[in-house]
Order: sequence, then structure tokens, then C-alpha cells
Amino acid sequence: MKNKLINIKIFTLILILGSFLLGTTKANAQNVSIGIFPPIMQMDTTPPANVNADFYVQNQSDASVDFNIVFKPFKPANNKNGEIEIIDNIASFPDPLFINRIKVLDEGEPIKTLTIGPKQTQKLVLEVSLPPNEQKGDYYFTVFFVSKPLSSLKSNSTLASATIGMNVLLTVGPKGKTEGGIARFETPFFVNSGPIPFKVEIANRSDHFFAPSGEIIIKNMLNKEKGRVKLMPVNILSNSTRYIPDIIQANIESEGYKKIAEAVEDQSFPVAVFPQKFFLGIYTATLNISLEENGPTFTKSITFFAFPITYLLTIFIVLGIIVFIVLRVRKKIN
Amino acid sequence: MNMAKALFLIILPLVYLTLYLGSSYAQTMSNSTYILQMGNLNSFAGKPTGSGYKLGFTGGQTGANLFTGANYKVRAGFQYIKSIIPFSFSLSSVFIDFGVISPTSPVTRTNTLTVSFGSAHGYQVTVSQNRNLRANASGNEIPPTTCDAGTCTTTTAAAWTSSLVYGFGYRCDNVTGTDCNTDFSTSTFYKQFIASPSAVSVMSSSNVGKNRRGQITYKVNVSGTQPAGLYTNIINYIATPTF
Repeated sequence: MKNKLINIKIFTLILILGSFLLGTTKANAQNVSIGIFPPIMQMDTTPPANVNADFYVQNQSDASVDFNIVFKPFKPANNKNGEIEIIDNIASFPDPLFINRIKVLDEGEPIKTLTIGPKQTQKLVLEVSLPPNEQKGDYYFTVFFVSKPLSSLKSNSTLASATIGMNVLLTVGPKGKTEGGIARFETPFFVNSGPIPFKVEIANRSDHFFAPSGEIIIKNMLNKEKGRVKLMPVNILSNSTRYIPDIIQANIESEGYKKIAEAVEDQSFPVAVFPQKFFLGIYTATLNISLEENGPTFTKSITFFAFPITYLLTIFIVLGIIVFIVLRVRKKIN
Repeated sequence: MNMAKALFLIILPLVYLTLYLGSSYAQTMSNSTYILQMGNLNSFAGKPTGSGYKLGFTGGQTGANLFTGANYKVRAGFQYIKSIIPFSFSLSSVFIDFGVISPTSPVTRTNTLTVSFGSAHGYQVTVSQNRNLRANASGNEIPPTTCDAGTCTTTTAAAWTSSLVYGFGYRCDNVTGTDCNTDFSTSTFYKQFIASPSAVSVMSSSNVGKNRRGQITYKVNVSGTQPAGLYTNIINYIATPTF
């Protein structure tokens, strides 16, 4: 009886220890996961104005994250795909003192640092105060949230810091005349089959950014319309050019995107894609684009020739096999 | 009595296990005319106003909003992207521990970068270092690698396989998507880290996407003459959406 009791006690002890082991939380190397919404603010203003715009910063990590808040101007990167290039010289703004007019507010108070608890979202306000005499022009800047790295000198190591940014495109008006045009509209002259990629590059020579709208109309040699490609109204910054993709690419989950995915991903720059696969003959593609809602508008046409070699080769091979079989059968019969 | 004690000891861990079960949470928003129980990503909304502007904003449900007035027009988010995915960026680890580095025995460590950018049409992650790996006490440094042929730089990748080539460098391998810089398409290619405030692109995409992952491999190798010390530095990753 005594032995039985001892056994029960040992079993119970093991069970308790086991339960502690099972209950222990998983230990992970410290990660950082941060988010921001919206990713962009586009502001058209006429001073004086005191714009306050809400945005949200998320800490999706398992631990608190300390941030420094930094503003930096940017310009479009040379690859013309909408990526930015940070400029470290704040004086590059039309108004060198403009940086002083931007603040991030937390419950009405300007902040330069921020701590967000694990799995928390922090609502903040971006305030831009423009005096009546603010220098007109475009101001492009990014609001950065820079996570502070750990401090550890216990071993040979590298500490990683994660930073996330929200881009702000601010126009201080009155705006000048909208100027620009079609810098490039190209497709391969000879195509075997679709989808057909079009390289569409639009230039902005204005003092302000705009988001042009437009489409490509494809017609065959009988002047019959075969289809249209609606372009994505992406922002083109002042005195720059940008490649324009088609609107289908705004939703990569869509069935439409699946049809053009390969053609999109084959290119190292954004393209507008006409999804049709079979083409035969001479086609004309006409690009119509309006730089802003009220123009100006531009049109350019290009021609390409399509000959479905792959389809025809397949047909010839199948026909050849049939003829071969027929001849063999006839020969045997004879 | 003994039996009761034994039963108690069995029940105790069961209670303990039960207490360890995770809790579930729910958010409820309400006013006089509605009650909204939230089980999805719709986590914030609002319409801030002021004297010279008005801005509407909804996070989670729609991608963007447009508001106009006498002397302003504000668009929050991209008008053509209807996404509930915030622009987010993750590092799987913020502490890259090389441990003891022995001469001519390269040490490699990895961490994973994840970018979700459904609400933005494209993104870029740049990387830079605050300084070379340095022992603060002595000021000695492990220099950037120049790779096997002495040709890799902060912008050009090259093969680094020899254990007799020393320094510190990195490479990026695609895990999900194909967003790592194409300079790293050969598996032995490495680059030097560039010094801040300059930065170079390590991952990018000009298309909408979510959960694009790249694995960064850090490699360090020292010669027998490298002075002993505790070598550290900071690597900065900056994720920005396209405009």
C-alpha cells in the first residue's frame, strides 16, 4: 500500500512537471513587425491651411517597439516605376524651412518618439501648417517610423533596425499649367502570340504631380476594335516620367491578373498588358491619355504584326502525321 | 485520506492546464443606433475635420478616400487599390548573433524580411549599416568583404566562397515571390553593406502583393591576425511604398 502511494506521488509529480513544460510559452528570437496605413497621402492645398490627417501605425510584434519619427524629402527613383529615392538635404524643398511645418501629433501633442505595445495600433495625426505666404510648389516627403534597435554587447553581433514609411505628396498652390505628354509608347513589332505588353511612359513637366487616366485601343487591319487596356492612374511627380501599368494589376487576386501575370513578371519595368492570346495580321494600338481630369489629352498610335507561328506549326505537324498515316494505310491496302 | 490527497494532486495539474488555455477577445463598438461586433480587419475609421480642410478615412474596409473643399483636396491611400492590407514590414530577428568567430571559419547567419503591401502598388526595402563591424573598446574593425576576386562592392555582387577571403557581407534569397535584388541570382554571390545615410535596394516590387519574403544571409570571416574583441554594428532596413 505504501509503495502504491509512493508510485502515485511520483506519477503526480511527473504530471505536474509535464504540465509546466507543456504550459511554457514558446521562446522566439525577438522579431519586429510593423505596419502603416494609409501608405500614401496626397494633398492639394492653397495656403493658408492647417491640414490634419489621421493615419495609423501598427506594432504586430510580440513585444513593445520604440520608434523615432523622422521626416525626409524624396524624389522619384531613376527606374521610373514609382520607387522613391530619399534625399538627405532638407533644403531641397521649395521652402527650406518647410520641415518645421510638419508634425506628428498624438492626442494633440507633437511627438518625435513613440512606443507601441505588442499587437497594438496607434492612431496619430499628421499636421501640416501652411502660412499664407508659403512658397508654392510640390513637397514630397516620407514620414518614417524607425524602430530603435536593442542594445546588446554580449557577443559578436549585428543588430537590425526596421523602418517603415508613409509617403506624402503635397501641392501648395496655386498650381501652374499642367504640362507633359507621352514620352514612350512601344510594343514589339513582331509577336507570335499574346498577351501583348505595352511600354507606356508618361512625362510630367508641370510644377505639380498628377495622375493621368487613359487607355489603349487595339484594332485589327479591318479597323475593327479587338479590345481596350485601361491604364492605372498612378501618380507622376513634377518634372519626372513614369511607366504606367494597366488597371488589372491593381488586384493580383483577380482572374484577369492571372491571365497577364506571366507577361507582367517577365518585364523588369511596369507594362500595360492586353490579355488576348491569338493574333493574326497587322494591328494598330492607339494610346489616349488625359494628364488631368480636364486635360490636356494626347494620342499616339503604333503598329505591330502578329503571326502565330506556334499555332501554325502545331497544325502542320498534326496534318503531317495524319497524311503520313493515311499514306501508310493506303500503301498497305494496295 | 491518502486517496483524497492523490486525487487533489491529479486535479491540480488539470486545473493548471485549463488556466493555460489562451483567451479569446472580441471588440464591440456601439452607439445609440447600432452595435457592431468586429471579427475582421475593420479596425479603424474616422472623419477628421477642421477649419480649412476635411479628411475622411477608413482603415480596413476600403483602400482610400477622396475629400474636397474650398482650399484643399486630400486623398488617403490609392484610389485604384481596394485593399485591407496595411503596408507592413517584418524582420524575423533583430539580433544576429555570430557567437565566437574563429579565423578562416566563415560564420553565416540569416533572418527573414517580410513585406505585405496590398494597399500600395509596389515597395522597396533598402539596407545600410551604421558602421563596419567594430570592437568599441579597441576601435578595430572587420572590413567589408571584397569577395573572392576582389570585385564585390556595395552595389555589385560577386562570388565569395574562399575561406581565405575575409570581411563582412550579405546576400538575399527569395523565399516567397521574386523580389530580392537580381544581383544575388547566383547562390554564392555577396555584397558589402553600404554606410548610412546612403542605402541600396535589397528587395523591391513594382506590383501589388502580399507576404513577399526574402532571406538575408550575413557572412563574416576573419584572418588569424584579426585582433580579438567584441565586434558589433547596426543594420538598417527601410521599407517604403511606391507613390
